[in-house]
Amino acid sequence: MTDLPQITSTSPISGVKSRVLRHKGMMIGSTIVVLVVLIAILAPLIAPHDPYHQDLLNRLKPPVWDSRGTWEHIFGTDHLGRDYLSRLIYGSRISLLIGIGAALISGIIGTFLGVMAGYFGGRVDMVVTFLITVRLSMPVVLVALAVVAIVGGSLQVVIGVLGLLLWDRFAVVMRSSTLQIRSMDYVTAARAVGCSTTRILMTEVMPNVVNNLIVIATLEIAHAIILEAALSFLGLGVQPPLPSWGLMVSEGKDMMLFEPWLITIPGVALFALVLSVNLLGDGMRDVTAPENRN
Amino acid sequence: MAEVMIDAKNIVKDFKISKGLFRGKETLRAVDGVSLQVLRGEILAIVGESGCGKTTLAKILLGLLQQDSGTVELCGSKIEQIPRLELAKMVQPIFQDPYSSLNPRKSIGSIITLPMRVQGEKNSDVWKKKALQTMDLVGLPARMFDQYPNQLSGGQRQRVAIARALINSPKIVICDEPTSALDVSVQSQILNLLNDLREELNLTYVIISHNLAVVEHMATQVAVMYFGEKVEEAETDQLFSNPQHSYTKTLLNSILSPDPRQRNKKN
Repeated sequence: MTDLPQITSTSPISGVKSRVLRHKGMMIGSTIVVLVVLIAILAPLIAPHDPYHQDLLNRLKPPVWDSRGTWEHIFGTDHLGRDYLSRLIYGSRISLLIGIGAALISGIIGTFLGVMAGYFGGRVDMVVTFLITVRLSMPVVLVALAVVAIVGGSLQVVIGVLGLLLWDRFAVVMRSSTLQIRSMDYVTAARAVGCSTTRILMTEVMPNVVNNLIVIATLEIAHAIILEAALSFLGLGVQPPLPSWGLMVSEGKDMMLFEPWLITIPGVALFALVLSVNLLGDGMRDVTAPENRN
Repeated sequence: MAEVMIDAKNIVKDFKISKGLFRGKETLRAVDGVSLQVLRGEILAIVGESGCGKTTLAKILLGLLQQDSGTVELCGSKIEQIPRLELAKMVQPIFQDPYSSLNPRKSIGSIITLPMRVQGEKNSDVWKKKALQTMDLVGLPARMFDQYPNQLSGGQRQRVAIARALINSPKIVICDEPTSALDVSVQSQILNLLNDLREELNLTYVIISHNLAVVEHMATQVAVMYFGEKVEEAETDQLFSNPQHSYTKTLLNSILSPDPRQRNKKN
């Protein structure tokens, strides 16, 4: 064998780290996401007021940047005199919980179905494709509205319903990427080496489809957060007095013309969170892809 | 007489091709009554055009596909009766494309030691030692143990694939176009490596190829396949000097010669 130029080997972890630091979108996205997660965890410590405490004498106080605003209520108060900043801080818990919970449930369902369909093909694939078609033919918001109307709205019900409805994209993407990986020679090699099907799925197929999974998961987290806001806006999601961002927009919509901050503040918060979750997902895909390793 | 390593009799394999939801299925006979016998230490080359059933035959010999009829015996026992892990220790593949035969998510060390881990070897020192030995055997430097496939060249990747195939010392190695994805200078390195390893480890090869130069260089025995059937089998020298079947003659005539006058003579 001819002499090869010496390649300095870098450890995989340090390689990923430097690529993360160079990825601007991911840095911005992850900063905001980490910030929101910290706010959600530390909510009782940083919220200036009790988010449920009503003070009818101080209704509809404008935020601090308005000439009539005070530092007492930085984002003002809502129609029941509750501190808007505190409600926003506690609301981040609801949004994250629903986003992550729904994406987790639908991720497990969708990945399982998709990988099974892609790897085994044949009848299994036919059944799964049929299930996907059935699911796609149901309008999410209408089904969610109907179920919530029957069962009654609560945090658990919303997470459950969204989890059971949002698995279609997971299944479609996992199916097609598994189909692609299954035909690779390294899967055949693993079979020839004597690996069991479970082992092949876990060690050969899953690591190669997981970057798609991350992207879909972030999209679905964002999707679930938006859907929760929509359901709460329609009055069938999280029930008052829980501080959900969608519910805050809903409660503020009657006063939209004269007190616009009531909907712009939670709206901007939703926008920033969903955008940064998407940026984070895109970044994670770029950083973990094997072709970007060098 | 040397030990019979592969004894295949009358292998038939059909594929069902769906013509559409309501139009039923059509049967495609990929392998049609092929019989092969390979003795220990021999190199059998299977040649033939694309789609003539060479790869299907290789998959049957590896136990990855089940033949529809006929019997395959490896080292004297029927292939269906050999347990999966035993079969893996007996016969291993080397694939055509080293870019798709290595999992891009796994380090070279992890790829090479996979066969040992699957066989239930738990001690990581044992793997690592054996893997480094095997890497040395196939001419890979030890520093590549922690690298990833995309940091390696095509030839190095093919060496990794060979190391993976050899780490559990199989008796038979089935090479499906082992060099056709590599550039010419690397091809000869890999072929010489395969030849050296055969002598060193007493291996039996089945080489599937449509590169007749490779076949002439490597094989002791050549089988020619055409539309799923074996049309001719002979020792290499004999086949190249005195082809019997008309397809074999056409195949041999298709070799490009560097001398244009010779090419004209043939036609």
